[in-house]
Amino acid sequence: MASKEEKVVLGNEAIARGIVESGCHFFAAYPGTPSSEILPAVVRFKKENNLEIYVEWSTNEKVAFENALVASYTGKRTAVAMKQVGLNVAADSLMSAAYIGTIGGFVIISCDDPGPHSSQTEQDTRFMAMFAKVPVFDPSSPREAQEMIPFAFELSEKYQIPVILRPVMRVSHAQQTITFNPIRRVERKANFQRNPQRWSATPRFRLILHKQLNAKLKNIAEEFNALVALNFIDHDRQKASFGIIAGGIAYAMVRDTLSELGLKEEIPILKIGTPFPFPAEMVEAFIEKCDHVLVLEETEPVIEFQIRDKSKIYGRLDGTVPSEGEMLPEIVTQIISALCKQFSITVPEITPTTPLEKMVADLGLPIRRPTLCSGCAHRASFFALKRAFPTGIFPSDIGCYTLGMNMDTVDTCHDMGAAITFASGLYQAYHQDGKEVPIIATIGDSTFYHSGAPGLLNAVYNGARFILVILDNSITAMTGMQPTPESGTTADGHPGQPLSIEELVKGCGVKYLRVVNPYDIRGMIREVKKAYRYTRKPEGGMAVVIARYPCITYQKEQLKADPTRVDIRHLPPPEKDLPQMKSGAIPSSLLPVYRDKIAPCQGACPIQVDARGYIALIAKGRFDEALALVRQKNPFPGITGRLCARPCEKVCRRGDVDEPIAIDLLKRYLADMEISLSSPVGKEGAGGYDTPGPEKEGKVAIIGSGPAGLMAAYDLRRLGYQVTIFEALPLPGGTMAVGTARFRLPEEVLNREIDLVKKMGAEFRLNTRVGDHLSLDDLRAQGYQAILLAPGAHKPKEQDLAGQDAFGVIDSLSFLKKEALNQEKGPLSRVIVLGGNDRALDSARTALRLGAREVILLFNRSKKEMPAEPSEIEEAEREGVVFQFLAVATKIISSDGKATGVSFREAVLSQPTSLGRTKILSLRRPEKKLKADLVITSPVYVPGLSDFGGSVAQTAWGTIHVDPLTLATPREGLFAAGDGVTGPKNFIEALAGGRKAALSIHRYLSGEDMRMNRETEGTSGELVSVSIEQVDPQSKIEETLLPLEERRGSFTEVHLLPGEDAVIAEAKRCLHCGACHQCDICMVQCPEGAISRTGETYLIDYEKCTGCRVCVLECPTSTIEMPAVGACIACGLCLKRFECPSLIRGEDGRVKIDRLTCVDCGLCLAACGQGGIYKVSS
Amino acid sequence: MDQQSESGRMNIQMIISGVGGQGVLLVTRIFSDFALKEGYPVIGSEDHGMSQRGGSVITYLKIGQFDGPLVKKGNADILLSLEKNEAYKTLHFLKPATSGRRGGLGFINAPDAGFMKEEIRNYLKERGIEIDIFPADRVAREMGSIQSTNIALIGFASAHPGFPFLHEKLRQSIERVTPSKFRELSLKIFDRGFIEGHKAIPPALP
Repeated sequence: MASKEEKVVLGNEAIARGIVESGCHFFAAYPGTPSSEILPAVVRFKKENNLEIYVEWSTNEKVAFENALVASYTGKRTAVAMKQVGLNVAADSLMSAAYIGTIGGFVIISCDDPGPHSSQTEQDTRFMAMFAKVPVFDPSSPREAQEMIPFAFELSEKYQIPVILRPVMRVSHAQQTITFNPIRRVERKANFQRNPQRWSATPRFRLILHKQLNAKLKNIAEEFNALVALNFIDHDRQKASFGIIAGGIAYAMVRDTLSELGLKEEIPILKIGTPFPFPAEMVEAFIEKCDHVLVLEETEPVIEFQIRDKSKIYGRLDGTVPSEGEMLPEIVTQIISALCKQFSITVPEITPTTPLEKMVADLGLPIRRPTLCSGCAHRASFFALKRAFPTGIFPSDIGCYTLGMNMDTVDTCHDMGAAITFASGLYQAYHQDGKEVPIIATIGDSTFYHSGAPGLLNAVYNGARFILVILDNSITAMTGMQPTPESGTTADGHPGQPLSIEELVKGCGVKYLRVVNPYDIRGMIREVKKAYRYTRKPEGGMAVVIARYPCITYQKEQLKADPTRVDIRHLPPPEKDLPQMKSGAIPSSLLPVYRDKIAPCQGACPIQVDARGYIALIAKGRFDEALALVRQKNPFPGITGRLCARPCEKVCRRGDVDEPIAIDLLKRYLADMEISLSSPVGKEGAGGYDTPGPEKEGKVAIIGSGPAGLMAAYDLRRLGYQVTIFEALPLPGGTMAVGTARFRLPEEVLNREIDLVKKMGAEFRLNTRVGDHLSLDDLRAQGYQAILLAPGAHKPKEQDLAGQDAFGVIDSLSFLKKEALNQEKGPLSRVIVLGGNDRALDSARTALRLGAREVILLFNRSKKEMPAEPSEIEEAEREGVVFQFLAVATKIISSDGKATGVSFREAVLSQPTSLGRTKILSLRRPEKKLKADLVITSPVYVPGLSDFGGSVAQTAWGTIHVDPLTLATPREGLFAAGDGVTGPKNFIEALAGGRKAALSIHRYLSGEDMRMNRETEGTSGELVSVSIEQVDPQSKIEETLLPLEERRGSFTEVHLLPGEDAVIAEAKRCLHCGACHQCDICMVQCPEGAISRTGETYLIDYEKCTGCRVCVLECPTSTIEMPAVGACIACGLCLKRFECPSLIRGEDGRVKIDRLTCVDCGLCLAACGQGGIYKVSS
Repeated sequence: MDQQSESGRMNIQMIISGVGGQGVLLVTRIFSDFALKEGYPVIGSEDHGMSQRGGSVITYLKIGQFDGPLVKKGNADILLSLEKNEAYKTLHFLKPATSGRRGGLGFINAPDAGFMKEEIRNYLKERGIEIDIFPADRVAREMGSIQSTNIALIGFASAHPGFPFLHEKLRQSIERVTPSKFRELSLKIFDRGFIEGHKAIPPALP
């Protein structure tokens, strides 16, 4: 029966037991498989037995090593544990420690990993021991490891030399029944004896120390020759045809194999527990007795190399034993059986297991590779990183997150800390060639503390630019949840000093640091993209993003508080065991396709100009093509670029990010640059916009040369009709010419575009008023088959303002008209303008330019309610117009019939309605007065139709009555458009009206149905709305303005043209709503590589497409269409790219949730593009 | 029951296979505890580190006079597998029958008793290797603890006359090894597995 002291423990626990049983005072370690369980077991024994032993998780192996080493200088017994590659990190210290030696016992435990199972190499610590010249013990079992440690301490103290214990993984992670021996208490007080010649030996002394070391090793080898507890022979005999030398774990394997083969008694085994320094005498004596000797050891031929006469030896050097990989029982059995047969020793036949293994292999079962745990925040981070940088390079590091390899986001994994050094090296290598690629290094928090910081310092110092993502789960998860310095918890659970990664990063000189929650996948994508842009900025540099979320496997309760339970909605099962797309179960109507859509700017434009299209051309510097595209719809870009109310900019999607694209400015640039000599615009093919169509029968009279009349004239000339424009005023252009300030629309711009209409062959009859002397009937009689009334709205409507008839009172249009026609305007020293529209402002600013000393503008509401353009209001203020808001004029004061001022009262406004409108509730007293010699009013204007008598039908509002669909009046052949129909509206509406009327006239003249299919003309409501989630704000183009001092007395245009670079930059802010602009994002994002590009188009290979919709979700312009099915189509994205172990594909091809492992993290919701995974309300 | 005959001598080699997170290590601990209490030496080997993250997990356990921690292919007396694909991958560890000694016994958690390919089933049968399949996860889920699939499978196996561990003694080991929070439910699931095993497994030939 089991005695009380017997326990089944893990090899590492047996080692821990050996450490405490040896009376060790000081133990340090850095976790690493297969060594990690030693320290926790030491802590457990410490607590169970109230031991004084100091225990620490050090920040890396070198740190652990040196802490423990120097503690041994004080006379204490110390030990350090790590994995074999950890000893590489401490190698510098080890080499020196061998020479200088120790005082108290110092034992190094370095766990090897033949296989390798969890390591970068299969390196053999015994070689490291030989290299460093320190003794090494090689245990064959947990029990022996436990027993060797007291020996190791004794030896270390006796010879003042470090001693290595190297268990292999099959010892560290073996379970075995061991006996718990009593724990020794060794009394030692720290007593560091100063001895600089030894502790800080110079090279001269090192030579002496080396000599001493060699002497020590010689003596130890002698001792090992006689150390029968560790080096002994099983079934020794005088003579044997076949003997085996077995080191460490190989001894246990050989014992079992010989037992099974029934050869235990036949074949002697020399067991070597101390391979260095080599017990040569003992080994050579054994070889002497045998005819043939097989050497078995893990992993390298350390014993074999040290045997001088190899004539009898079978082993790795002659190829008998494989030179790599773990030594498994079947391999050992095979080697021994084969040699026995060779030496005529009878061995039983071993039934091979290969037929069965082959049958299973033929089933093609999925290889179950390790994956990140369900709910792991690293998965969310990697998913975000891959989405953000589909073509990035991803150096990574050692830890759980190395499994990001499954998600295609780990390109390198070298050694601790190499993510950062590799990233900086990669950056410099590319940078040298003038290339910049996104480089995203990922490193865990523990690894960052281990050896990340030196690489980061170096990267900052040498100017590398990449993104470092520190995956901070606040624990060393892979090796079994050891605390990190951040936690402030020490190895034995005592509170320490918590460290801050942020402080460390900043201390490394990093200027850009953001902390994100990777569970917010979208937020993380946004942040890492921002970080990338920072690395590309001239003033930018290294960017560090800390993705912080606790290890979900360690902190299971994290999600229990707020679980996100999901389920999968399924379609009927597919016919074959294939994704629905490939099985054809998805109708072809649901396949992804490219389809351009109407952009909001175009849809909102009354004349449907393709703003997105010409902006894209501007962005590419193709100005001439851009202008041609504008002119396909709009022959007056110069005027439009100045006067248009810009409905396009009001709906511009960019405005939801920061500010709308300056569409009018871009258009103005195109129009104006065409005439400048150095212009890149208009060098070739303007698209025939300025040539009339083939002459047609049909004469059209257009009354009025404003925007509606000009537009109709242009369109009708393009169709080939004869056009005569009758203009009452001495100059053409309507309110563009006489109702708009010159500094907003220069005369030459206006005339240039009017000249286009003239050049097209339209006849202009100026100073020709139709009405009294020349009636509509007269025009008919002159052979005009169709007449378009486009008289505008120039007649001020009577307003209810006392004193308005005084001399020195004028309405704004009349005022501007006088200026345009160079007429006398009377005294103009103190001017009061009433009203807040563009024309009122134009009047005020014109008055200033004409020399007014003071211009005061009274507006009856607040500033933000002013209908004029905000930028114009701003300029008016800068020019010196004084604004008096909430001022309601009550009377124009006059003296001798001459205006002398205005009295007004302050308005009390209602709360704004949902549309932002207010009402004037009352007027406050007292009444105030302002002096003026000119008062400019802003009445409502209506068309002046009295001249036509009853021949033109009117509405109740005094406008021309038309069929809104065709703009035809009730009178045969008479049409109307522009402000005469709509009342005062923006210029662009008039253009649209002119165009509409022209089409009606064309149909009328050709005898077609005027009304057919007219509903879709004008603005379009069906607009695409692109995602702006990932668009970063970028400031709008800065307008250049005429300096203030140059404006006084001058009508030079205030808004100047920006430079070409600024214009291109502005065009590049366009989001290309609904139109592909060859950004390649769909192509690089497609996880299946199903999208390819030829020229300016993309092809989707539907054979490869799985229907994951990543292209649709990523397309920044919403050009790719594929409606979400709202159910799982078994595309496999969640299995492959998201790679959650709790999402599994059943045999029916369906994706299922494995409830056993699902932790309700809900992250897969963000991964599924089909809406197949949905949140279940609890 | 040749392995657990008179005078308490026992030499059993076991393989426990499954997927990381299924509780393979707990199964090992139960049998280790059993052996320790019965005074048999134990040696075995576990998977730690990377493979715990959802990869294939295989544990070797040898009770009796053994030195090495690994079980040689074709040498296992018992295979307990918590997942059918992992079962497939570890079937070759089972020992074929030799004259006088029965072949290995495999107990597999799988939803479908007929999942195993005919060809493989026959191959095993010809070599005297017996496979018993049991939907342990379903039973465990029904009982309210899907995490106890491992316990249900051991309960099922303990009903087999050729299984070398006594049901009652295993029950005591489970009582000692499982955390107190799950103890009562674990034992209920263990007993339920045992009852199901009795129904499913033919009694030992006289």
